Amino acid sequence: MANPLPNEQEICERIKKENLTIHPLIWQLIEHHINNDLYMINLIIGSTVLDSEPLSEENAKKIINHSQAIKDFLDKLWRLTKPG
Amino acid sequence: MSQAKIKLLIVDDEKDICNFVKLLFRKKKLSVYSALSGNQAVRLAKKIKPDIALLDIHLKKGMNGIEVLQKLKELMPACRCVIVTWDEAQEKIKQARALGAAGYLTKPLTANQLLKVVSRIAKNIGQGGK
Repeated sequence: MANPLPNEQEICERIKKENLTIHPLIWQLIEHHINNDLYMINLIIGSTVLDSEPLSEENAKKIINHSQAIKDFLDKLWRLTKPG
Repeated sequence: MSQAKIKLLIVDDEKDICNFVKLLFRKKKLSVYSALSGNQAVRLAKKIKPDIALLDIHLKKGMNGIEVLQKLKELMPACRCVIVTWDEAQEKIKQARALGAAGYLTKPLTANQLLKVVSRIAKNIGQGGK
């Protein structure tokens, strides 16, 4: 888990106070892309742990691909929504 | 799990997810089938008559998961349908419950969560429960 930003609490309070929201269409994209990739990563790692098996090279590559897909999606979202 | 004859239908438009979930449950000796769309799910269900269906609610083409649920419950009321969703939109969950869904799960799920839920339902079927 990433360490919280030093001012994360402050940011969260400001989001709440100023009622800063994300457009539902953007949420739709985030949930679809990120959740499906996270779901796959969870399934791969979870089943590896459950079976007490080492992670196969094939599944490790899948995890890398799904992680990369999350990054690609976030980059795309950034390009589409960057201020200015 | 020892439900060799339990038939599980996975409905998700993500091929990777279908394949992986299939593999996960095959290891548990279930007969597992998958469909990448609602229409395909209904066609397959008519043929195999699944005991349990895991339905992704957000299918991109054709019928959505709720429509598939409705159709499956019409065709085979005994099939236990579990809705898989990435949001917790209460309206959809209520709708799914009203249509006879056995439960709902929110993505991203862990393999353990999936196994527990399906195992519990399969055990219930094995004991003749509804």
